Amino acid sequence: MDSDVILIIVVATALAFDFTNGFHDTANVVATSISTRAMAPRIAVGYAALLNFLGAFLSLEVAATIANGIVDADLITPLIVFAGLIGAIAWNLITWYFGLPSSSSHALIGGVVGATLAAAGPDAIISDGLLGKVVIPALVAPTLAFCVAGLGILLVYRIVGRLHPGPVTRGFKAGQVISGGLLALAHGTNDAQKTMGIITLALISSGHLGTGADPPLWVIASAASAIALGTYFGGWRIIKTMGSRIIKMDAAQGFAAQGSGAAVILAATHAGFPLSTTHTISGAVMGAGAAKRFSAVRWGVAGNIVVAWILTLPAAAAIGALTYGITRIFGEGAMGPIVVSSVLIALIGWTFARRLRQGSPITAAEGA
Amino acid sequence: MTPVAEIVSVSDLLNVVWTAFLAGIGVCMIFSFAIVGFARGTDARREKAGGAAIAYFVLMAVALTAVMGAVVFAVIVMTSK
Repeated sequence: MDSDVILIIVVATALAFDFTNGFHDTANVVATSISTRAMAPRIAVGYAALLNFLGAFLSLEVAATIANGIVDADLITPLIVFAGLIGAIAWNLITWYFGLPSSSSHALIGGVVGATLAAAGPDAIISDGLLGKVVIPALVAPTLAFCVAGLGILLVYRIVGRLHPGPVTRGFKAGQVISGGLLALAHGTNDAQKTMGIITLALISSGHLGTGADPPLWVIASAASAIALGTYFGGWRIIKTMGSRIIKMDAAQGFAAQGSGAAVILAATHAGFPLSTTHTISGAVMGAGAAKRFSAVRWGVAGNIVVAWILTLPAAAAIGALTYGITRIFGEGAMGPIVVSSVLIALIGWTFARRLRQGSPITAAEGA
Repeated sequence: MTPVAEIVSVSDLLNVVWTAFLAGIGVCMIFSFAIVGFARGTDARREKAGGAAIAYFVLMAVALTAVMGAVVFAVIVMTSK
């Protein structure tokens, strides 16, 4: 009975995390299309939400990496998964509050690794998987997106440079319908799979699925719905607060940034690498900006991303480990997760109210 | 200690790198040719140069087909594994 209650809390927490992931990331996915006026905000947000949903059904490689490639699923309990999720949510909340461009994906992996270390020791961590599937791709992807977008926009300017600007701008605005859609699809397929992987890990640890099992259809559909709903509702807030926070770029740069970001995320997803989609998209946007004018890029944001890279995995891991310790004070039953969830919900409500009173620090380079 | 080259699937990582370069830069270039076809074709039609206009619009159509083909191919590859 207790284990079922814990599992239900874990699934609900994972889906809530997925919702916030979509909510957080709407800016990254639609900002470029809206800032170049390629799409009306309402249409861009609805379109991104729909393609996020469809993207979640495209692949299961990343979910397999999360469920079986980072921690030893045989040594994991639902309580560990719960503590890991709380570590990720708490770190996201802290970075949101202080305006740091954190990665939800790194926070999720860090939280689970930290809770696993605290509960089962270092033997339960698949360090080769963590380094090879998470840490190194996390370094490569934004750099790759920067280079692809930079080279792409240079070639674009070379090809269309002598044309009248009117048809070029109209053409690339139309092209952004395709590139923006691909980016939303790519975002949905990589980020929704992380939640699928976590729920699958919880189902394996509770004995509902065998080791190495793929996510069941209900897990895929619920993760897809949660991220799509998050994207949709996050969009309305973004439309209200857009103002000057979005990086200004022309339609060709927007097309190159979205197309390159989507290419990197889709290629990495196919290989099973759980990337930070935010860092990848930010890398592409900076590449497209730097290729035109080096000083046009907000290098401060790039610096914040590097700081967030360094901090997120260990910080979320520490919170995950601490949460596991606190949860265990109440024993192995459902009381620990119930108490911790209640405290977290109260904390989220308080933080949101306080932050909204002060004004949101959220920028287009924030999220997963 | 395990060498990094053994931990990281180098072939997977290299596949991601070349695929991203090919797809990202390829789509940008091909779509640019579609815009060249559209812009030059419109100019040629305005100047009553029918043959040139047709050639440019064919370039646009071929380039757009290639871009859409690349998108469909990417989705098929993603779903096939």
